[in-house]
Amino acid sequence: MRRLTLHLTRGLGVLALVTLLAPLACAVWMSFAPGEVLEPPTSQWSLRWYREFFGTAKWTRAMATSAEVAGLSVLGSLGSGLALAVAVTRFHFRGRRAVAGAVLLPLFVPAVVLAMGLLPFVALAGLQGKAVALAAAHALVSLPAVYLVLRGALAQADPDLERAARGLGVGPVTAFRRVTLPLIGPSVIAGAVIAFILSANEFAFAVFLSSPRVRTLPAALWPEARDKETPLLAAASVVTALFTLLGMWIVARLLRR
Amino acid sequence: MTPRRTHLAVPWLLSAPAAALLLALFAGPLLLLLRVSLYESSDGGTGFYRPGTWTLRAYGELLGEPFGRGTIAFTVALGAAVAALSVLIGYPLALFIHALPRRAKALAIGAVVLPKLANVFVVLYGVNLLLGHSGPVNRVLLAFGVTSEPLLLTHSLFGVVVAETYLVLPYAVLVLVPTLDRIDPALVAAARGLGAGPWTAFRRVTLPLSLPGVAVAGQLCLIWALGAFVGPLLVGGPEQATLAVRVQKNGLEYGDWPRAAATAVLSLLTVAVCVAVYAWPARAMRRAGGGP
Repeated sequence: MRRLTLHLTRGLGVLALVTLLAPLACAVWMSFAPGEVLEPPTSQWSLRWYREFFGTAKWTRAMATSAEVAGLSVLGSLGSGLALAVAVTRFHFRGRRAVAGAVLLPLFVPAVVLAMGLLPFVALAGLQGKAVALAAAHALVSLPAVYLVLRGALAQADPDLERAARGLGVGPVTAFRRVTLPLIGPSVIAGAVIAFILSANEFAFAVFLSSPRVRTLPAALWPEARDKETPLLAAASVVTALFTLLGMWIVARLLRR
Repeated sequence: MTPRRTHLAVPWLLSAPAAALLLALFAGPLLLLLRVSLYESSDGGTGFYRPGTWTLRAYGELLGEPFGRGTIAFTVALGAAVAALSVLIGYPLALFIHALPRRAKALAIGAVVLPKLANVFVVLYGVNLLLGHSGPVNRVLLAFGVTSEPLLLTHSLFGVVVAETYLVLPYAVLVLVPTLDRIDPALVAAARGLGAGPWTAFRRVTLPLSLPGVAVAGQLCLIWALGAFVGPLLVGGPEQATLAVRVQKNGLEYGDWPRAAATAVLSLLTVAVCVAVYAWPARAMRRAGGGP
C-alpha cells in the first residue's frame, strides 16, 4: 500500500512535468511540418520553416533588434543592480530599507499597466520607437531579479577579505575589483544572462514600445500568432527556446555551489 | 571629517543609478498614467488625448457601462481561478520536485521554467494540444457521450484558463520548492519515529510548516494572474477580454490613451483590492504555520 502511494505520487509528478513540457515538444514537432497548415508531420519532415525563418529579413532583423535591446538592458540592470546590491549589503545608511524594498516593486505591477504608463512617458521624452526606450523598460523589469542574485552572492562573500586588502594599503575601488568582484564574478555573469533572457523573450513592453523600425522578435511574431498560425511560429519558438536553454544552462553552471 | 563624509555619500552614490531607474521608469510613468487617465479623449484629428483638459469621463464610461464592469468581474474571476489552480497544482508538483535528488531537481525546475521563459507563444501549442480536435479533453467528452462531435474549444474560457495557468504555475513552483527545502527534515523524521504514518506526518508537520510559503505563493500568483494579458490575448475571444487586454486595445488599436490609462489605473486598483482581501486567508495560513 505504501509502495503504491509512492509510485502514484511519482507518477503524478512526472505527468505534471510532461504536461508542462508538452506544448514545447508539440512546437518542436510542428516546426518540421512540410505544409502550410498547422498539422504535425508524420511521414514527411522538412526544414522549410527554419529556412524561411532564417532567410527572411523581417525575422533576422527582429532577432538582431532583440539582441541589441537585450544587450543594452543588461548594461542598465547589471550596472544599477550591482551598485545597489553593494550599497545594501555593505553599508548602513538612511533609506537603505526603502530602496531595498522599492527595487522589488516592478515585480508587483502588471506589465501592461506599466507599459501603458511608459507609452506617453516615452513620447514626451522624444524617445518613441527608439531601441533605448525599450531597453530601459526591460532594464527596469529585470532589475529585481539581477539585484536578488547579486545580493545573495554579496551576502556570501566575506567582507573581511576586502577589509584585509584595505589594511594592506589598497584603495577601496581596487580592493573591490581585485577581491570581491572575482568572488561574485559567476553571479555577475549569471545575472547578466538572466537579464538578457528576460529581455529577449519579453512580450508586453515589446508590443507597447515597438515601432516598425525597432521591433523585437516576440513583438514581430505576434501578428503571426494572431492571424496566421503557420508552422513558422513553431520554428521561431524552437529557436528562442534553444537560446533560452543555453542561457539557463550557463546560469545553472555558474550558480552551482 | 573628510573620510567620514565620503563614507556617508558612498552608499547613496551606489544606490543612485537604481533609484534613478525606479523614479524615471516606474514612479514617473505611473504618475503620468494617472494624469493621462484624466484627459479628454481626442475627437479624431491628431494626438491621442486633448492636452490641458481634466475629466473623469473615462472612469465614468468604464464603470458606467455593463461591458466595463463585466471586464473587471471577469479579470477578478480569472485571476482568482488561475491563482488557485496554480497553487493547487503547484504544491504537489513542488513536493515531488523537493524530494528529487539534486541533479534531477535542477532539471525539473528547468523543465518548469523553460516553456514560460522561452516563448509566450508556446501556450498556443499547449492549448491546441489539450483542447484541439483530437485532444484529451475532446476524447473524454466523446467517450462519456457528452457530445457526439468534437467541440471547438480553443477560443474559449477554458482555453484561456489553461494558457494562463501555464504561465503562472512556474512562479508557484519557484516559491514553493525553496519553502519545502527550508523545512528541517529531522522534524518529519521525528514525527515518523514517534509513530506517525507518512500521511499524518505530512498533515501535521510538513503542511503547517509550509503554509506561510503557500500564502506567499498564492499572493504572487494572484497578482500575476490579475494582470493576465498573453493568455486572453492569444487564445481568448472577445468575451475573454481582461483589463490588461482592454488597455492594449484602447491604447494601441483605438489610440484612445485616456481610456487605456483609466483602464490601467482600474487594473492596479483591482490588484490592490484583491491583495487586501487576500490578506485575510493569508494571515490565517501564516498563523497555522506558527508565524505572526
